Amino acid sequence: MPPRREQPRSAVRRIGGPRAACVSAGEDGIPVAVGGRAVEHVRDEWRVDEGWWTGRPVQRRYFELVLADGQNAVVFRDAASGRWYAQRA
Amino acid sequence: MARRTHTLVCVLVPRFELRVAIGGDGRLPAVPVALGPDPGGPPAVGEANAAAAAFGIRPGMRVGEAIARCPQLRLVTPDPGAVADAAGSLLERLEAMGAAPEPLAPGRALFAADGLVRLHGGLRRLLAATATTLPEGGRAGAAPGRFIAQVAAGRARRGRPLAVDRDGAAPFLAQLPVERLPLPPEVADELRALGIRTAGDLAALPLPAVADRLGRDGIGAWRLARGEDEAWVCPRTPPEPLREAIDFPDPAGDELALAQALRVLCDRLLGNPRRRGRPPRTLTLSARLAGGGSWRRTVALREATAEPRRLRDALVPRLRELPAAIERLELEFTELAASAHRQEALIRAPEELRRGRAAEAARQVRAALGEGHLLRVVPVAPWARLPEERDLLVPYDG
Repeated sequence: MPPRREQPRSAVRRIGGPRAACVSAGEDGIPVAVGGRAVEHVRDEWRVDEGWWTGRPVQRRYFELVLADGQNAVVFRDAASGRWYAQRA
Repeated sequence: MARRTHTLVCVLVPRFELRVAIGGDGRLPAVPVALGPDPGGPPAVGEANAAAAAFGIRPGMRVGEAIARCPQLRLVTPDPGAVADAAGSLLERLEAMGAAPEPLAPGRALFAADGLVRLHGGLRRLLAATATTLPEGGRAGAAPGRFIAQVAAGRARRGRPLAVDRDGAAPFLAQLPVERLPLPPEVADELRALGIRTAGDLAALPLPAVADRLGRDGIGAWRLARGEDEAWVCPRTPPEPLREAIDFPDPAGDELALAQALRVLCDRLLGNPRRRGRPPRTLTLSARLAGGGSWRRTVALREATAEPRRLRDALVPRLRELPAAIERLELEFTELAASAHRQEALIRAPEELRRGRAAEAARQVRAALGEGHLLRVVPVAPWARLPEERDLLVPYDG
């Protein structure tokens, strides 16, 4: 009997959603470590304020970072929950 | 030799578009109701029920005037997609009882009764069988001509079909107002000004006088008024609908995203084995609007083709006519040509070769893993500030 094929998920879906990240930040709110790796350099920083005219406003502070091992990472802090997330941006 | 009499049956559902848009069992409410303006169209009302007509509301009247005449008027969002489906379903029911109907308009069709009268045991039984196929409010009429059959259906009552024979045609039409005859409005006005108010008045005139005063239009109307109607029918070819649709997780209005969805739909339909190599000649693009209602456009190709790029070139400009964001996009190959007798190019462009190889590779992956595992990233809102709103993963079909 042939192996049962895995059923695909919904036909159309979003990608690039945020993933929870373990970020340590200094008093000024700038990350100093991501996933245990030290931040070598902050390349960019920007804010996103969206949907303030709706019942579900989005307030994020994004950082584009270079980590100690040479990897680039984009993380943001969600103002509503205070949690950190990594995201492809 | 006796002349053979042809009998035509007309089925008619008055205010069909309004009934479908209201939904339910098709009954019209007792309160004033009218079809609202088409999304993106002129601000005019469509069909109105009898309660609204009592306030003087007529199709084509501007919305402002209609509401001024009847402040309690309820406007219903038009649903052309559902109307097309309901009209197709009515024709299919007629075809199921052996008729070959000619669609005249949504909710109005004509078919020849000659072959069916004996099958059903008489014209009365045929009309009774026809009446059972009709939705709420539907009527049926039979007469020896196209126009008279339509007038008979209009005068019939629900559940009580009306049949007019050849000898009774002229008396039947005698009281019909001249405006109801197929005449240009200015000719009908001229007749009224001359004191000729009914078809009977017109039929009583001598033909030379009518021809001299009204020309060809007048001669045609004079013949009709005397019961001399044409009895031909041009039945439709029952379609074999090939239809595909995509539902969007959120309302989509971006042209780029819609064009990508259209590409997927084209590829799916072209890959459908039921097409049996026949290229599409007529396409119907329809959408369910996010704010309610639907949108529908029919595209007739100058030349039937199964080339995806040419199909997209014909369809993509139509997407710009969408009045609002949509929840569902649907494409149908409404009519297929007999077969593709097109000579292929001797040398294929490198781009086409690469595309063909990619499509073959995709087919192999699908064969190994099954449908739905091969996906492609489609940028839907590249300008969005939230990265998760920029792209969608959609099935890769070719």
